[in-house]
Amino acid sequence: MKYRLEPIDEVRWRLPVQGAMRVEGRIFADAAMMTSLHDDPCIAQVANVASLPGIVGHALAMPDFHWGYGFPIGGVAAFDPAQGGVVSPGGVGYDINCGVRLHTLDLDAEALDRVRDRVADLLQQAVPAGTAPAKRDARLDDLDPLLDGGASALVDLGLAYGDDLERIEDGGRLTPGDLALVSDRARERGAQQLGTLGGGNHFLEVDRVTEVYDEALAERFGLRVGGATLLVHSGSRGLGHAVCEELLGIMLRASKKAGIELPDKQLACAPLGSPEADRYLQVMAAAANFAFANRALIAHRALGAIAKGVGLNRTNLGASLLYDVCHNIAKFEDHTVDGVTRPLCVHRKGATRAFGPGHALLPERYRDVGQPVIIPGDMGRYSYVMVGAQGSMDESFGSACHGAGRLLARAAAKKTTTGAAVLKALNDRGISLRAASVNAIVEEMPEAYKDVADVVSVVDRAGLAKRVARLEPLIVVKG
Amino acid sequence: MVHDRSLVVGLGSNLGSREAFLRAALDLLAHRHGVTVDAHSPRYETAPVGPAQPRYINAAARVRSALAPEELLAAMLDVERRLGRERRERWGARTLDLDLLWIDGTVVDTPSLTVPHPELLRREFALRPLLDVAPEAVDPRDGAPLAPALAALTPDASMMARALADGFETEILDHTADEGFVTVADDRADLFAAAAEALGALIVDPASVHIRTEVPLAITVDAEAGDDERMFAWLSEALYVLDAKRVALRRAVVLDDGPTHVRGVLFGDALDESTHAVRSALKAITWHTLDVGPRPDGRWRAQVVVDV
Repeated sequence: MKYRLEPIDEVRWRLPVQGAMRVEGRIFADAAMMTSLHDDPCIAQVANVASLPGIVGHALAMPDFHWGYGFPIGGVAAFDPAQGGVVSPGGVGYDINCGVRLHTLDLDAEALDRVRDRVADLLQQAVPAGTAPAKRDARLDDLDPLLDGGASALVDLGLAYGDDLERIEDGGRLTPGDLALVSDRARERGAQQLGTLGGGNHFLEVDRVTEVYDEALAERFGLRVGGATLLVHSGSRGLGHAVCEELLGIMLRASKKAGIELPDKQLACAPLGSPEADRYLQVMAAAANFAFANRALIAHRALGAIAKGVGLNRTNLGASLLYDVCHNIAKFEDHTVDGVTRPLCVHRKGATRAFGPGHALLPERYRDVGQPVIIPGDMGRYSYVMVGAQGSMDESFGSACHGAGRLLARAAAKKTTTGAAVLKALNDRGISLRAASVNAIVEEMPEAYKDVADVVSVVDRAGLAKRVARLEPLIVVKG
Repeated sequence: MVHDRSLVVGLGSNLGSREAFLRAALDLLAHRHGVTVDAHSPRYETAPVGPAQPRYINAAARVRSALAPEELLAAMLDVERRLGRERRERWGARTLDLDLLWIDGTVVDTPSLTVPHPELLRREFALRPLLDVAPEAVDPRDGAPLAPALAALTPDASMMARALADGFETEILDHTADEGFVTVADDRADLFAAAAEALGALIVDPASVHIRTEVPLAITVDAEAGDDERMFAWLSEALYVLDAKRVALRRAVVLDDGPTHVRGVLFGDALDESTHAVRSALKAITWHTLDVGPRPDGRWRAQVVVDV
């Protein structure tokens, strides 16, 4: 069916209740974005989410939203357990707790630029990408501490700093419940992929800070023009994919049992409080913890490679974690809807938590300014650091966008260029690219993505988060 | 110096993924030291001889080999065994049947092997593909050309010729963030083999894979499960094997497509990023626009989107 959309202002669109929708949809986008979407099936996906039981507020779509499985990528939705609300693996995605972390370095980007090819080679050796298997480390053979403790397990092993934890969403750990619920198969896929980037849009980047929009905030975040940063984008690898896949079948049966009409099987869900929902939330938390540990391990090894490349020891590199955020997650958070503050199960799928100033869950160092929000762009242009604003608390369950969003299909991208051409174009712009396959280069070429500046601009104008600084890549490692 | 012999091997299958078995057999022969497969015929579908059983597909391959006929026979039996041939009854259904039909200029008559194949001149499903790949063939016993023998046979009205391409009919889908494929095959068993091969080809270019290992693949499903649920379970299992066991896939076959199970084998090699042409790391099979079933023309089609 064709859905009716109404503009609210220059960055907001209302999807009125129609068909089986229980609440309105709210899309954050500018007029050009909406024109390019016209009949895109992702609009119907927002409507489908709005039809799920117990949804409150609006079914939300961020400006980088596009067609996903069940929920659109770039979708946010909150469900009230007191109103028959549900949890849906389709609202989280296969890559549970895919996310990004950003480290600032006490190093001039200029110094890195002089040795960028050497550092790129070292990074590629240190962090397996694509289908490449994990580097074995006997200390990490037992997965239980990682599934239980997330990033804190790496602190225990001396592979991460203890004071990093408060700068990770939820302290780098969700409460996982019964670890025995994580199947042997999920563990098997995870064990041999720990510390690896994987494929798709995952990457590792060394960036140069090229623009600062708020001097005071940038200084607080350790960002200065000409400074260097490390950006890591990965998730729970095969462990999370296996968990999601296994639970989908259970959730499909649970939907049937609860008499929930599903417009799309990928929206399979279970009422919060049901055994199936509990089970999903428990294994999802364990997988999220694996992802927190994975990103921390990747960053640990990448920082070692950078230090080696520039001839410094780790301490002199002055690496400091700015923040580590989830893009794909469902969890209980307190939010205020219709004047009542209550615990809601917030699903973010391809969206970033962006808590505004004063939020109790933020560490003291950021509480007065808001949560750092890291928005990666494509591998040729730029990424942004933003800070969560009050608008996100009022309108989007404390959420903002997560990236550029694809423009071209993977198959279509392959028809337009070659790996060698993309490599050369990037090199001409001063970017050293290392990739696991020619496919990865072509499918992820900059032109396959929307301009993240447009996405960030909508989020900024809508008041969900504010721009702090812009980063441009020097070195990119792709899966 | 031993000269290569020129010979023709007949291939037949009437159980499981028939087309996939023929291609896998050609690969397993070709990947064997001392054997070169130069050409193969189209595949011919025919009604079976003997007790009521599924229709056969047959083909023939022109092969060069320095192996002695008995050694080659042993190699062929090994290929049959690896492709799940269960010798149940003399005329019974089989996943794969290989026959040494003809050797240029050579007659073999031992207790274990008779070449030319004793039934060759009476079986159109053997003689026709043989002449496709060796039109000049003569009977080594008397030097008589074989072509007139085909003309003398009463034509089998049930016989239908189709190309035996290098792979199934598969196209890549354009999906914004991810990848997918549409594949078409003669029946459901072949469709499951085709879909597994299409999945493997998203990860590694099968042309870069030489068969060195095989991994069994089996699922059980509810008797009332739809074709889409069956496919979802099958491909999820295949992706688990390819990802967790690090297998680069070349061919897939289905031995048995039963009411509550599907059994098959994946043929490939231990994944090695330095020698195999890696394409993409895949996350999972999705339900997104998943569509599996027979087409109006009786062939089977699957549309699958995979999370990248």
